[in-house]
Amino acid sequence: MVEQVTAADSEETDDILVTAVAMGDRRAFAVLLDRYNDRIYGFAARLVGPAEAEDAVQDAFLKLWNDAKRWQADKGRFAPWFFRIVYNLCIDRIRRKQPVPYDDLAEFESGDPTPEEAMADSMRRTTVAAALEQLPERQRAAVMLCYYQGFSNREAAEALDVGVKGLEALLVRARRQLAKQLAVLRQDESLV
Amino acid sequence: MTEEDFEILLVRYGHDVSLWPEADRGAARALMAQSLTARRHVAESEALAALLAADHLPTAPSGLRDTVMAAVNQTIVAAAQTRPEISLSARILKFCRTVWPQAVSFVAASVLGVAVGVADIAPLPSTDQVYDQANDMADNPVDGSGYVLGYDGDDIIVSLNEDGE
Repeated sequence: MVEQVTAADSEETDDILVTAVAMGDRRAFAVLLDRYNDRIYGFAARLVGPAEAEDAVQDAFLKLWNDAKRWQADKGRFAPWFFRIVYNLCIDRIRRKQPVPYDDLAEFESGDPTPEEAMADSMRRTTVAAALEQLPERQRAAVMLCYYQGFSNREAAEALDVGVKGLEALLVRARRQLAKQLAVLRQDESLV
Repeated sequence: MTEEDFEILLVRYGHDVSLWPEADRGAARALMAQSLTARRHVAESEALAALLAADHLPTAPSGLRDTVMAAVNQTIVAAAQTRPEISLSARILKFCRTVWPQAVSFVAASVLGVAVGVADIAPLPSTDQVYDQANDMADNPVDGSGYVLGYDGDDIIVSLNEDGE
């Protein structure tokens, strides 16, 4: 089936793929889906919680399918443009609904750690996620984009629709608040 | 360089000051040498980066990809149903249905135009007819003021009365 093509099978750039999607190419869409599914789900899950994130991801990809022709190659990379869509969808959901508690995040595991490692890892992730949850949503999104998605400050600013100086101000405030919240973590060497 | 400037540069270039642009590096090191706060910012930034780097984002549930693909396929099907494919004969029929009132109006207007034109441009009398008419007139005085003598092809020739009028 055409949908079974994976991102690993394709060396096409995002730019080429999104241009093809704009012309109704389902194979290109499937490649972008494989390439970004986990990335945007992780981003959305930390913004709105796991359950809402599934809907946000689905909405984001549907929007990509319908609006791919609006993306302009000369205005920057595809990823910041797409993350802006995801971010806006998440913000809409946050405004409509209270965020889901991050206790649910402990159920997401990767690899096969020992029970002790799994517990420590789960606690750390839950604690980090909880610390992130305390941040205002724009600061949280700025941290997610710069630290987890590897965006440059300029790209993160583009995704959040702010200037670079505004993005840097968000990161400074986020770092200050996270430093306070995570000071407790640093005292426990098993979690760092 | 102030401590606030230093914080901005920390989020711009990262906690490893040796990787900062040369223009900022000297001032940053000077500030770190004298400011406990600046050194604390670096330590916090480094610890935070390490903590976040060790953190893993949740991965998408296994069924989400298929759900998204199914939703897109559904969108495509729905779009196709709202724009049904029309056969050639149906297109011709639709075209004819759309165009026939205009076509009838056009033909009617054309016929009417020709009819009016024909009626307005009546055929000229032949030369024989003019001669006959002139001869009839020649046999009769014209308002008592003269006589019609003939027709030279362009004009009717009239004989004026005795007063020369």
